[in-house]
Amino acid sequence: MINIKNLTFGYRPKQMVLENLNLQIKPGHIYGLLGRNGAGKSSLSHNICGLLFPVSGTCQVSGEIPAGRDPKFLQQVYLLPEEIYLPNVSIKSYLDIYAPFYPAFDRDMFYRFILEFDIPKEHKLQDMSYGQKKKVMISFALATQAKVLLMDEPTNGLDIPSKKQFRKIIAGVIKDDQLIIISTHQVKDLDSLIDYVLILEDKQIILNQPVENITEKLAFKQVINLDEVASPIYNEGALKGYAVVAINHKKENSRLDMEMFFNALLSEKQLVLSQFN
Amino acid sequence: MQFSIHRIWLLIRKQWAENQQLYILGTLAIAGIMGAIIVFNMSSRLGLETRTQQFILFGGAIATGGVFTSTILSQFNEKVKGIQALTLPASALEKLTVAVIYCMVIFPIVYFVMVYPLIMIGHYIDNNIAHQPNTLYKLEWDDNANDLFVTYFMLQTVALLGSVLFKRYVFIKSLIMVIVVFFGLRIINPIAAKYIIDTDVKTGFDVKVRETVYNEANKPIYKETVKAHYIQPNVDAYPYADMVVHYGGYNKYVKGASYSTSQTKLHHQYNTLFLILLYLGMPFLWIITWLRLKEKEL
Amino acid sequence: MDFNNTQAIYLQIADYVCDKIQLKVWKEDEKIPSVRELAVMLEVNPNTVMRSYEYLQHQEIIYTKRGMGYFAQANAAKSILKTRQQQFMNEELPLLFKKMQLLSIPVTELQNRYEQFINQKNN
Repeated sequence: MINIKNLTFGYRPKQMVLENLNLQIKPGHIYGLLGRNGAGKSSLSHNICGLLFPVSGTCQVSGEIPAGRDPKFLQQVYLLPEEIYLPNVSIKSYLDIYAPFYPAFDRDMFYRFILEFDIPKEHKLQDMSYGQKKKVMISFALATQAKVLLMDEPTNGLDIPSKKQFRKIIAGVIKDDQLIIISTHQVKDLDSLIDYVLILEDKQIILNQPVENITEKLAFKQVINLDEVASPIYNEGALKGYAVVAINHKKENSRLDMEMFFNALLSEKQLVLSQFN
Repeated sequence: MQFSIHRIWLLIRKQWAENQQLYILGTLAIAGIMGAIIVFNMSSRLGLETRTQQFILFGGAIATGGVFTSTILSQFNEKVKGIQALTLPASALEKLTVAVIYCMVIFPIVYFVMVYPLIMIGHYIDNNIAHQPNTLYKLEWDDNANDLFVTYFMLQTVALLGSVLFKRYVFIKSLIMVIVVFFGLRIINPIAAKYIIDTDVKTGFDVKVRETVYNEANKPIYKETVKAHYIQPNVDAYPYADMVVHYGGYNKYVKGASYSTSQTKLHHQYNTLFLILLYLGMPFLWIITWLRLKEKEL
Repeated sequence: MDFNNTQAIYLQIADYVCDKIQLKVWKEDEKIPSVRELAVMLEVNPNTVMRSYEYLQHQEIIYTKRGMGYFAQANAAKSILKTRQQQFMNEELPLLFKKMQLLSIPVTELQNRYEQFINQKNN
């Protein structure tokens, strides 16, 4: 669905944010895009939705070139940025203004999400809190039924019950021909939803793996003593012993700890990546 | 190239719904300012002269229109609003068309419908209460009105281009651009004119003028070819100024009656050329604006 | 649902399904929630639930009827019990024995305590 080849991008010449980046993404999955601050996550998602143009290389989304910003393309790709702008109108007017731009927009779905998020329908958008606005936009984004949904820190600003609602909504809405890319630092909020992990580092996607592949190759454990683990890769001291990432010799079925995995990958890059080749 | 009337309509509606309050207040503010200017001019010694009326009407349109136009595409220049403006499913051509409709159709209509009655009221008071012998300026299509309309649309076009060309201080930068272009033309024009019409435009030269004498009934009674001095009176003027043949103030006796000649305006091909360039300039600048909007990145 | 941090989520979901079947919340030979319903209920990716269901199918705890969804096997509760007994014997009991040995607790003590526990429960 998304096919990126040798993409190079930078805001200034000689100062590239992404360099020779390659990425293939399939529909039907929820991808978690992880990377340090300033690694270029936004640049990548903006290239995918046609807000920024590659310096060189190609980017294709469902066979189209995003930079053309064809209306048909824009109807199929929705970007939910971290900071959002909402005009000073009611939810209903907002729908009347914007929904007709998306032919597949499902109003019932939108109102169902608004109800689930517990948002007062008659309020003006600018009187709402950041979290409420975010929830309106999440509902809108999903109701467009766009084939590619890019979400930047969607759970930022959401209260605890809303995060739960968010997970329920996403779990209920994703379709086989749809793709959601969530770029986030709040991995704990979302790690039960994400089934593919993308890691952006050194101006490239250095890892693109399904969660089951990661836990097949690596074991995530809590131990009292480090010598209980054969071939540990990375560990962090915890209150009772250690959290460890190790090579999964014994074919254990451990649960992926995304934070640990990310830290392990950054500190032991060669060793971790070599498990996947 | 994507162009859908339905989406144009949606965009027009969106622009209005999002800026409703601002536009209503802005319209009232313009009415207030223009009203004040009219009142101020009524209190001058000669009252609200016809020329002043025209100047207020068009000067106001050009100034307020310029401000309005420089804001119409402003959302494309802001990071947060820009994401929405750029990813909204409509083509750049559709988005630009809506901006053009707002700046060059809706705004001038609203402006003239609102300000012209103010001038009429001002004139009525000026005429009937202050008893000034001024006549009401009528919106007629004469050379002057033509020039003013062209100036209006040209400046709106430039402001529109400026608003996609610059990211910050759009209005100021567009204004500077207009000033640079205007004075640039004033400097280049005599030089260009000199090359194009191949003469010394400063001192002029002699030409032959075909002279026709008319009687009181406006019937030609006499034709003759005479020598006249050909000058370019506004050598440093803007390109489409007319040439004037310096041939005024001679008295002639034809069949016992005395006729006097007046200065003759004459259109040189050079003029036409620049006029065509001027009119072509507008769609040309729209195309540049469109291309720029298409290529606009966040 | 709160998942623990040690076991793969798909296995925890499988466990959850087994619990429901064993406790007869979901009856044998009856339809169990669809992949989508369970995903929403547990706030997980539908693909993960799909994996759990495939795993349970493989274990012959559930089966699928074309176009109708997933059903609990006729003798699912029994086979779950059997599997879990085995699991207890093979995995949890050795750990218990290890600790009993470490703390010098005789097996008879364990038997007494167990009988007390059963009596308490029956009263």
